[in-house]
Amino acid sequence: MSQDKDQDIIERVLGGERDAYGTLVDRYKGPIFNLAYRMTGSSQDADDLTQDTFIRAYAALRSFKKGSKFFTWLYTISLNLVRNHLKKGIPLQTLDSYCQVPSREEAYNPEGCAIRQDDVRALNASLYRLPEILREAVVLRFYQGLSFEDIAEASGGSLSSAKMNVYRGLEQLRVLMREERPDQKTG
Amino acid sequence: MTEKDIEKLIEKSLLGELTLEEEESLSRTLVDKPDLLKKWEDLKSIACLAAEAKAVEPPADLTARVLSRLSEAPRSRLAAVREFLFRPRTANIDLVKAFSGNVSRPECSFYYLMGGLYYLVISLILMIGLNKLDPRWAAVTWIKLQPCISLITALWLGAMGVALLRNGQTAIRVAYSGSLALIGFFVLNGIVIHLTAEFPIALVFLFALVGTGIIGGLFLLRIVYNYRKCYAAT
Repeated sequence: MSQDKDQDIIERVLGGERDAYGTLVDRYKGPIFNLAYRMTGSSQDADDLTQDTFIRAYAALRSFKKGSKFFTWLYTISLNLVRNHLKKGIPLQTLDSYCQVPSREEAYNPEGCAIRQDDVRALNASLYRLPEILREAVVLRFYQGLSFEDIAEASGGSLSSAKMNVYRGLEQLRVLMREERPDQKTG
Repeated sequence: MTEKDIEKLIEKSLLGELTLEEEESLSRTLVDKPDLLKKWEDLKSIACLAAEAKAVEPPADLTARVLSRLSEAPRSRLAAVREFLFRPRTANIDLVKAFSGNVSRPECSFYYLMGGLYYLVISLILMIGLNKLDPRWAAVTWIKLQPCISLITALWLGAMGVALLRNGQTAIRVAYSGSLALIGFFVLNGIVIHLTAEFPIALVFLFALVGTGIIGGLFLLRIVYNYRKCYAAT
């Protein structure tokens, strides 16, 4: 996504073109929805949190610093909302299986597909047993594909803590996945 | 290489920070360390599994729902005022066209705001200038009130300009009847000045004070009348 293009749109929105904000929503609703979905495990909560993220970003658009990355700023808002939501202690749900579709190669190999689906299920279940901070790091790094610099900026931590959380998250996932599938060793 | 060093290399590998040399060294070392090799492969496998996870599509109407909720966005009063004042607006100012027929909302508002600005300047001039005039002038109460009258007129016209910009039917009605009242008041003002001042007043002064008010009032009356027609047509 071009940072300059985002800035142009932001200036149009600040100039009174409210509908131009729709372009920004269209551009980033996917990643924000996915982040909330992976963090909460509920598509309904993800929907609400995504809406709230964009509404809050709109209200604070004037405070967005020119030259910084819009999407990391949006991630920061979203993460704060997700953290507050999780603080409410709503029991986490396991992801629906519809988000995991076997690849074309797997479709020709029913046995491999079954193993993979089991791995995915074990991964999903383990993800929700991770401490929030580690889950956040794993989701941002692997599911969202963010760089460590962007993870640090979005989560409000340092670069070294972002790296440490990602690695610790992976290590813990390995342990948890073994518990989920005692018959199969992870991988 | 100690086990701690190998663990460090595994971590670097997972974080994508391994050099080619280190990677070769790690692969060679892990051949003799089946437990660590298993750990490395497991972690890589988990990372791949997560990275390959299919993204979930957000609901199709999400953007529309966000846009419909934008008015709910909590904004401070100061931010709302700042946005209202500094939002760029397009107003094609065409005096002839405005007088003869079509007047847009921003244009109508603009003339009222300009009228307000004019009376604000007049009130300042009168406040400063009256003290330096002949003491006989300053003794006349009604003349002493002229700066205040101008200031009130300025505020009223400014308020009407803002109200018209918000496009309310009530604002049009108030601006129309208010412009009529303004013309009447300026006529009355001229008469009272003439009657209360017991010394000759130059015609040019009376015209500057009263005549411009009447002409300006008639102009605004015509503008708001034309705008009312345009507003009713929409």
